[in-house]
Amino acid sequence: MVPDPALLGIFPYLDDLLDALRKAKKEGFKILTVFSPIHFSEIQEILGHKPSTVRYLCLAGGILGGTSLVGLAVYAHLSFKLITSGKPVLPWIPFVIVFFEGTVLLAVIFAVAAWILKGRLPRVHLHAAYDPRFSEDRFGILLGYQGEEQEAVRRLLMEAGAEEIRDVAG
Amino acid sequence: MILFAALALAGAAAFLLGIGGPQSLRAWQAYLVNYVFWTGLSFGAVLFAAVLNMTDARWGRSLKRLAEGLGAFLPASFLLFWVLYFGREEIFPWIREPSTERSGWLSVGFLFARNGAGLLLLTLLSMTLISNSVKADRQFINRPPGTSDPAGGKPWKAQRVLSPIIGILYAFILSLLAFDLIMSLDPHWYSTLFGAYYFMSSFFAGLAALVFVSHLLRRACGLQEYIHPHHLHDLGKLLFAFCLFTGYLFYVQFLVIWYGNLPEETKYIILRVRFTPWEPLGWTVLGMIFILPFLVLLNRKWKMNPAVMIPVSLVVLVGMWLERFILVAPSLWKEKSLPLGFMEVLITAGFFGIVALSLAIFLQRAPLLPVSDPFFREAMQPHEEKERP
Repeated sequence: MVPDPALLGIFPYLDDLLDALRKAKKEGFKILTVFSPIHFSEIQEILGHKPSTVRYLCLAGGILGGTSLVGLAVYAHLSFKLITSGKPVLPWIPFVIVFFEGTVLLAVIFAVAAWILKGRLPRVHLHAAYDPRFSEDRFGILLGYQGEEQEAVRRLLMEAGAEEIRDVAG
Repeated sequence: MILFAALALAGAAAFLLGIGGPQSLRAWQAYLVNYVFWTGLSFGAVLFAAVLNMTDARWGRSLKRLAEGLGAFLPASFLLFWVLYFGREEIFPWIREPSTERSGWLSVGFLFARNGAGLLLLTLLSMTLISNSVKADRQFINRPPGTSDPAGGKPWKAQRVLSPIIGILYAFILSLLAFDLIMSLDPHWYSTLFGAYYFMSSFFAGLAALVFVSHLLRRACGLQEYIHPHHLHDLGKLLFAFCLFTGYLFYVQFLVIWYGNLPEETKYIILRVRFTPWEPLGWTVLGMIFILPFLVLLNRKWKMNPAVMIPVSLVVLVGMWLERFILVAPSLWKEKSLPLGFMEVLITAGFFGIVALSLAIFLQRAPLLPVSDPFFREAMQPHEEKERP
């Protein structure tokens, strides 16, 4: 369900999409979403979104994983004081490996979980404006409009090189 | 350039005075440390250019000439290698106390012959790679108007043939250098990974030098249109990766020696991390080449900011110099005091002067960008300038 009335422009070329995005941003039109078969950092940079919070959750997972696994190793060593070859009870040198593995393990788990949650996966219903060609070789930009803006938005998409413009009613 | 020449002369004077004085060992020690540091850095920088060719990489082409420029020191390095012959009695303990089981390998004539031959081969191949790269650009620039694009000509093909050969020989010859010039200083200690540790950490030093030079010259030489922030971002990521890898290679050796706890292996490490005067230096090196760059290079924006990357790359370079120092000096210097003073600073300044002078002369004579490189021109297709993402 798209909350506002919107026009969907379908583009065969990335450069035309980027051109349309820049113009839409400059004109102040509401960019509801962008469809693309693969990730392009240029799209992100034009939209100017803040970096995703997934990275912070990943960092939190890494810190938690590293400290908790080292904590587990320390607990195990203190519970069973097996002195081997004169090594100390709590040797930090091999604990580096434990810390590293724990960091990577929980960082990855947290990152995947955050990615699933923030992506609101699994998606049972597709976006109302989704076209199967967006998973193949087409790009899309969904611009919201209010009242009189519809013509201006349509003209912008046409001039940018959209091969198809579709009304996605609210 | 006058400053660099003055530094080179000052370093030479300090070295000559040092070897003629009462503490000649310090002068030879400083010379050896600087030799292995700057030679490794230079070969590492040339390896970056070779790797770009081997992988058909587009991203770093605008940095290729700067990397080749850092290799301009190599002919001087080859000549400087032979100076070590005159200090062999001071440098190599196995000359005064021959090791019976290693006498076949550790003999003066054989050592200098094999290392000299290896360095000559790698230097010639590196200089051929660089000269073909520059020649291709000069041909491209000077071609008569209306003639067809000479891209893909003989110099370009020569680079593509030489690059993998240099990549393979780099590993072998720098391993040999590490075993003979550093590891043999303690003839009863060995580590199989030492050669690989030396050539990978030299590549790390080469990358740090390239980061320093790229950020410095980008504005100074008006290269902003060709070296974009995302190039610097990618270079920063590569530096981060090799910071991790160098730390990893150090730790792999350290862990195995610690676990095995064999006296003939542990004494090398214990001397450098537990005994005065080396202990503080050992931890300082760890902080400078691993901990600080790791933390700083995590940040995306900092990797593109010269105000951050220039100091960080300098810290890495100084850290790597100290790392070479702590590999070499404890094997030779038996006093309680740390042999790090004015003489070492001057000799290091001398080597820096030679490297900087070679780079400056090279960049004055060669085009600053690899204009004939087809991948460079492909990478420079109309690109939206991104100042600050």
